[in-house]
Amino acid sequence: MSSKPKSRWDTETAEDAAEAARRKAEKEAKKALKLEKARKAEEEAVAAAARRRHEDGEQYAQQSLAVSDEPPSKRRKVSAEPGDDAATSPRRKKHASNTANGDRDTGEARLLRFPAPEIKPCNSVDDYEPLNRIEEGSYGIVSRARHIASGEVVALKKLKLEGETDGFPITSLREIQTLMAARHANVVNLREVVVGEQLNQVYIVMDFIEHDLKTLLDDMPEPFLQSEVKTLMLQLLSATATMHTNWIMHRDLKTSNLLMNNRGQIKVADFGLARYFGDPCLPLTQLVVTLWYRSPELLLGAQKYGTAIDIWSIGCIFAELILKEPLFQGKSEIDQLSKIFELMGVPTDEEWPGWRRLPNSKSLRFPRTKQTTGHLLRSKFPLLTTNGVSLLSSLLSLDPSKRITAEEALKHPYFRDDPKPKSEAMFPTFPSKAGQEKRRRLNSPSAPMRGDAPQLFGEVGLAGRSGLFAGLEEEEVGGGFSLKVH
Amino acid sequence: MVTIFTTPLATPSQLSTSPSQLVGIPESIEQKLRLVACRLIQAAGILMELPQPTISTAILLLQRYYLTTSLITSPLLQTCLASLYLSSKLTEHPQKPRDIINIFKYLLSPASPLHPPHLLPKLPENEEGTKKRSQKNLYYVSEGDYTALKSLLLSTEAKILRALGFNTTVNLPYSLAFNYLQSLGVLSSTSTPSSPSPPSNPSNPLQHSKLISTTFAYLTDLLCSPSQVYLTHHPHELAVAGIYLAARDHGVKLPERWWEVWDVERETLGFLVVVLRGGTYGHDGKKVWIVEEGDFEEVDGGEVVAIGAGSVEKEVERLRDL
Repeated sequence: MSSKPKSRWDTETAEDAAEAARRKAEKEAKKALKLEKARKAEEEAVAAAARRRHEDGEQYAQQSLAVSDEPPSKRRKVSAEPGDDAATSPRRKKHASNTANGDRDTGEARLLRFPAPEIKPCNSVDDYEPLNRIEEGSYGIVSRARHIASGEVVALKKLKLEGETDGFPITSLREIQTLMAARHANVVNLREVVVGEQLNQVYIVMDFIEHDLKTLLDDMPEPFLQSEVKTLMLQLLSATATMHTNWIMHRDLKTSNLLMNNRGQIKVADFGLARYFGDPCLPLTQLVVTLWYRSPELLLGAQKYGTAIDIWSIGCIFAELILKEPLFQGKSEIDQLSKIFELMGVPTDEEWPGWRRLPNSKSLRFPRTKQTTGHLLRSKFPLLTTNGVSLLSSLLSLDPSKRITAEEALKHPYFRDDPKPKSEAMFPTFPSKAGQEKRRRLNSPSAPMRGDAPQLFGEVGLAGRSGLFAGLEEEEVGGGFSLKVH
Repeated sequence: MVTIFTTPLATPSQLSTSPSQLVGIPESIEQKLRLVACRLIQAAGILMELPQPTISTAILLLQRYYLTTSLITSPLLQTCLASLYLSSKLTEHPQKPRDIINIFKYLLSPASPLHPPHLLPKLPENEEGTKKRSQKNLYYVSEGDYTALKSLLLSTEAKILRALGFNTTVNLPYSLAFNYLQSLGVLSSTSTPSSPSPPSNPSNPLQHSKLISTTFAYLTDLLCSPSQVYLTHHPHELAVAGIYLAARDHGVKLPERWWEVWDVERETLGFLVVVLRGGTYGHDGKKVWIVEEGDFEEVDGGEVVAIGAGSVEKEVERLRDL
């Protein structure tokens, strides 16, 4: 991008035109295909109906193939099985006579059938045609691509596997596993995993989503309205609740990992740090979650932590949606802690029993007076309703065990207050940067890398808390360019 | 929350024509090799003190892999190594390639209990010390062997992932079986607040733990069954079948048509029970010995299976000539 800075919008429009033309052609092709398909389907339906009359058992066969696959002699053996419960033997006879026609469910309890995913090899990356690069990070390269057969535009994430000595990295295995398990309207949809010629060329194919919330917030002239914030929060909380009930911790929730489409939906993305957790929890690495969204227990070096770390990140995101900038922008672990305690107060032993026993808190000294305890959310968010402040303070509760869960937060009265959450369809749309041009380098620290967890020493300064006008210089965000909102 | 009940299953066409059979390996040899793979992985897992779910996952990954790849393109040993390595990562019990390679080399060496006794190398009749040392030499892995095996392990791991489309979901029936037993009220009177346990149940705590371990034993046995039911049935169906047989073994009476509560058809249950009672491959009490390179042969009291690529090819040739 740096090579042609002035023609940024020009190239975009040129690309746009080409894109539009291509899309049109595609649409026509699709239409033709559809007609063809409809004709075929009709023919097939007639044939299928005829077939069904002959063998009722077909549907059954599809679903639990093993049973129908077995030769009938084996099945009869089943009913002759000795030692069956005496109580059920009359029905067994009925069954034995029924086995041939497969109409077993009549007059009996209706049983659930579970569809089974197939076991099939990866498709080739050649099925996709590259369009433009979106972002490059330590984990890999994300680019926009088009599925050649269907014409759909997708996001391709190439995993960085070159330097790996231990085979396929466990983090990427977790990313794919958790992304496959966490199916939700507000979690980015994993389509498939495709591979290239070389064994280390692996790409994750996801739906292409136009924006990420971070870039959007940076470029919006006005922050989101309260009603919009509510909708976004409800979406984020319901996605997180689903992840947590499926025993998945995301461990890197932040605005740049929340994608947003032009239909008012956000999608949680980047499961690079996600993993399954258990109950009781095991010691896990502390090096998770981007610094600005990292919870106090992680900063204090807790080795056992749970889903509450995701909730803290959600609290930070909630505040960021209102403020249009990250809530705690620490420069280091220690600075981050002091920023947190500045706003939320230094924890007391009643507020957070046992926090003094966390590894890092022993080496830290905290100024503890009356003024330093208790949160200052009310004055930081003067325009937020009482329920809003109550939700924020329970999301940002210092004690992880007192932090609200995603399930509970969904039922919080804040979401029932006026203004009501805005319907997704009423959301404004924005021009997509990822869609046509390279994105600006994000001005936020990146997710922690593997390595030893840092030890914290020193004094936690709470300077900003005392001065009346402290932090004033940060209130006004500089001009810069802003996107026109349609 | 359908996710814990569903697991990727094989299609009928995948089962009827396996890639190994397409390249000319007879079904009998394929079955033998698959059994040997299960044995080796299970033994290695026990020696490495891995939890059973990790071992079961490795066995299932291998079985699924051979649905799309033949035993010629991907010989057995490296696939065993890679699937155990991969499953140790997937189940969060990561192991080093070095340890896995050492263990498998031991299992295939003459020092291993899986080695056919009549093929044991003649040891010089010396004192105990030298005997022990030479025993150790039997499974020493040289640096060159290690490097070669490790690179095979890593490339096979990548191949397994590709062959499975990176869908490594393996949902095992163990935890479901435990839950089902609990909700049937046969484990202990305190574990079921909702349904009072039937009075006919002998509520003897010893029997409860036995009931669970018998159920789990059936489920683990089923992994090595020649019918590969883990590739054709969802975990809830397997769990119900395991419970059915275990409850019968211990004389525990269960409510009428209890399997329908967990959406298992009587027919399915019956089929699985037959499979379970059919046992694993070595049903006629024959012992299976495993060597890396050598001949497939029948000896009294057992048979020898050679897993090396060369040996397999030789055996296929021999059977073709017959």
